[in-house]
Amino acid sequence: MANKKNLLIALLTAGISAMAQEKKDGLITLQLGANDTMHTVTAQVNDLATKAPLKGVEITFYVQRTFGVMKVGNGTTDTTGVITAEFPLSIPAGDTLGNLIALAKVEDNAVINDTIFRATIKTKLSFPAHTPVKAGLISSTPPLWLQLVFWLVVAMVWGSFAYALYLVYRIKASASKKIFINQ
Amino acid sequence: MACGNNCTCNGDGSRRNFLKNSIAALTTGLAGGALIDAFASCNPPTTKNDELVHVMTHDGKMVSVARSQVADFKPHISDEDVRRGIPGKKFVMVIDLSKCDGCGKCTKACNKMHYLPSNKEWIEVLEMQDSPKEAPYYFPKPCFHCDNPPCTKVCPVDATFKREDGIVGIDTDRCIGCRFCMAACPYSVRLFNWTEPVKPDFIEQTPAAEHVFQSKKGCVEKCDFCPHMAREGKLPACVTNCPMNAIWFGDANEDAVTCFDGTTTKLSQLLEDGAAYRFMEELGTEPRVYYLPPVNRTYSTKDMKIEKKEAEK
Amino acid sequence: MEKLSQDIKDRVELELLSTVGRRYRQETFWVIFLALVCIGGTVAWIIQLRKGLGVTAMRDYVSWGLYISLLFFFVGVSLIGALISSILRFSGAKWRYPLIRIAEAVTLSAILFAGFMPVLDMGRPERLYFLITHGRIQSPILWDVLAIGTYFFGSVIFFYLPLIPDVAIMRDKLTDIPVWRKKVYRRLAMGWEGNPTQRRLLKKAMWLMSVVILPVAVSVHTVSAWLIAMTLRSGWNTSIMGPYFVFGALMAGCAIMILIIAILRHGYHLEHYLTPTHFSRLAACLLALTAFYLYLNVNKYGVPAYKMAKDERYLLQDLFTGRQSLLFWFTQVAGLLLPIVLLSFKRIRESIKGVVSVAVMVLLGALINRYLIVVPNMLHPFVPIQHAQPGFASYNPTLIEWMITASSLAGFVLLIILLFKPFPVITMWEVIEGVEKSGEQAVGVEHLSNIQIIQGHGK
Repeated sequence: MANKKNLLIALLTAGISAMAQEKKDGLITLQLGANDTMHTVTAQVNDLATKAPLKGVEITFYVQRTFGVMKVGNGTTDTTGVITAEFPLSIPAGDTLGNLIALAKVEDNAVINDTIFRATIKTKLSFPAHTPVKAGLISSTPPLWLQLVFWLVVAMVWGSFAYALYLVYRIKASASKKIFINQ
Repeated sequence: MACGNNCTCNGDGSRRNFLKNSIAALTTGLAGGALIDAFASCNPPTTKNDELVHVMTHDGKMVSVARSQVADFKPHISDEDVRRGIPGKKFVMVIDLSKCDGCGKCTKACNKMHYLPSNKEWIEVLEMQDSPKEAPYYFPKPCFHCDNPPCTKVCPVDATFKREDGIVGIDTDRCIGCRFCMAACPYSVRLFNWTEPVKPDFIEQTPAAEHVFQSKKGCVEKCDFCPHMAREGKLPACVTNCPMNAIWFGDANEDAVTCFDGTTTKLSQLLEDGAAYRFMEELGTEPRVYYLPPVNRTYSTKDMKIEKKEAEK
Repeated sequence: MEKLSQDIKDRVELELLSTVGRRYRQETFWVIFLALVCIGGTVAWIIQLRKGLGVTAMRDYVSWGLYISLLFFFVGVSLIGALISSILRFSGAKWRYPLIRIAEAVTLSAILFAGFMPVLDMGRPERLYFLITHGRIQSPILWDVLAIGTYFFGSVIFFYLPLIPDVAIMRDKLTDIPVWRKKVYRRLAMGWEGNPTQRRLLKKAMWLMSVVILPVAVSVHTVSAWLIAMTLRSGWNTSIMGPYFVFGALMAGCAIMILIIAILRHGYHLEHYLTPTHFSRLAACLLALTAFYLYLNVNKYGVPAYKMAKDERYLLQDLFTGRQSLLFWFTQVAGLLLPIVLLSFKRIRESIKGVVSVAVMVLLGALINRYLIVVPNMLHPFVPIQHAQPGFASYNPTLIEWMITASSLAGFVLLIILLFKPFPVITMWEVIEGVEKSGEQAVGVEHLSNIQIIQGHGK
């Protein structure tokens, strides 16, 4: 419900602002790379219609996380419409394949409409899909040593019981008068 | 087209923009309908109705799916999936005690989400005062989802279990109600259904351990870190309803946590800058919930009334 | 020692067999009374099953209450079997012979109810079989269930082994009993005719069982102690719990043994067999055990009380001067200190009345102590109890709980009585053999040659 309302308001304001200021639509080309210590992300901002580079566009860079986008840098484009930002390689990937999604976002800019562009970086820092909980006291599967000790103790005790019962059986077997057994 | 655009630009919109059934999804280039994907640029320009979105599959891979198909993208979650947890995730919570003003909205939101009566609190806001001269502070206490959980250790039937994504879950189809886990939990987090709970009027499709409504007579329940929300890329109810932005939730693998207003920050940085600690570290339970100490509080501690223990009076 | 004459043997056997299948007015009264209590408890249990554990006073803070306290009590009492038939055996005490069957009967009954208590306490008893289908061997509950089951099975064997020659005597001597009972005795006697091979085999089996039963018994108590010692709660989180339980158990078992042999001596007229010797010997055991238990208590409470660590402090204050202080000091003074003082006097040790009264005190103290081990700790968690609803921050057992508790205790006594209906109370052959080998004094029996058999035993 709240979502819808926001959406409507957003729609209206977008329409009004577009009409009033006649902002341009932007086209951002993202170039991604990395040096030894940093990821680099370069954005080239052009006018979508004329393809001319746009100067003075403030861009914020983000990386995609599970529950939101995390800011990693920002800046304003130069005369060639280019802006470069760096963020550390230590920022981990966003999925188990090592894909890191970088975003370039334009917000409340005088030159162009709000826009957002996305590119995927293949990082080496991926994390495993599964890190099984190690067999141990807290896990579902018992550790080997416990299984061994447990079943050894159980076997020893119940084995002794079985032997005691076997002795009882032998008591019966060593009776001379067998008449009692079959009745 | 414009809706997606404006949505993402609207304050906490980036959070809302996630599609219902994806873990992580974001619309691609929007403004003029142009779409360029610089590095992985093979995505062809699409029409309004067939725009590509990125969706995390249930085995932790990012895939591109046409938006029109995403609505139906409802992966079947098996019993095994639930016991394993969400692939590639390590959920973590950070609670900023300097921001928490004890309003209790997290508790209310949690109770609403999980259909709990007012006498049950999965996240309890305690008034703490460590010693008489020290200033009191509010202390929201969810389940700590310990990495060395004393509760899963003692469960005789594997009804409560540690998942790969860090969550300590409870399978109410398995629980025998021995309450050993309650005795074992040093934080008094676990609650028991002493009587028949009032059931909400809907049927859940997921296995019991990820039910929204977890109460079952004769079984134990507790805070579950809202895995059903996380599967959709959404934050737990307590986080999205904390007006003070005091609760952060996220993925330790990604090294990021997000709070109510959508701000996402680096987990390691937050813990370092805030001098984070874990509650009763000396117990060795290794909680997945971190606390930032109650410095520079925004409320007056004089108004706080601390309920004293019987023995302390 | 000289052999007993066949005449004396016959008279001993006749007298001891006279209790089998016989009706005593007092006994009938007690059986009916206890059975009624049990029925009341069963009704209470049915109510509890239907409405859920909400009918008890247990709540989220005190999540274990009377039932678990009683589990620890029964587990404790059940150790007496191992004490009499194993520890005394290896210490060469001949006076144990007349006590063996009584001890094993108490053990059997106690361990059966010990196994039953957790089921009463479960939120979903219908899922009990999950312990087998989904059991996690890392959980002390599984160890406890297995240890209790093993000890029960071992006790059945141990109850049965010394019974074989006695059942053979019954098979041969009891002629005017229904055919089905004859058949049962015949089956149970395993063709016993007392030949040397059989004697050797029986002795071997009994020796083996008394070796095995001791570690099993100790494990039952230790593992039960671990149910609480394996948690991180203040007061429970201590390594003394295992020995504390084992010796508390020996003490409670010894006390209940004194009580039960006093009742049997009086009720079944076993004055020749359960004599002041047994009472004074058991009293000496009880003295040693209470003294040692007091020592363990000083350790358990004294050591943390000296340090007064933050979380222990509230618990200890509650016990020493707070809400639980009355019960706590009762167990320490009336349940331990006073018995030690009283039993130090030879005059009291040698008077049956004196020993029995002390045993009652010790037993009461032991029972309350189980409650004090379980409940107060749960009222003092690390995280302060705040905004607790009424009834959550305290524990006052409800009528349903009291009824179930009372009926478990009643059932425990009832089962002991019923175990002595088809079998003689005293192990006849071992007593006779013991007297022949070591004399009446060593076995503790008195004036066997003076036994007068009055037809029908109508005293």
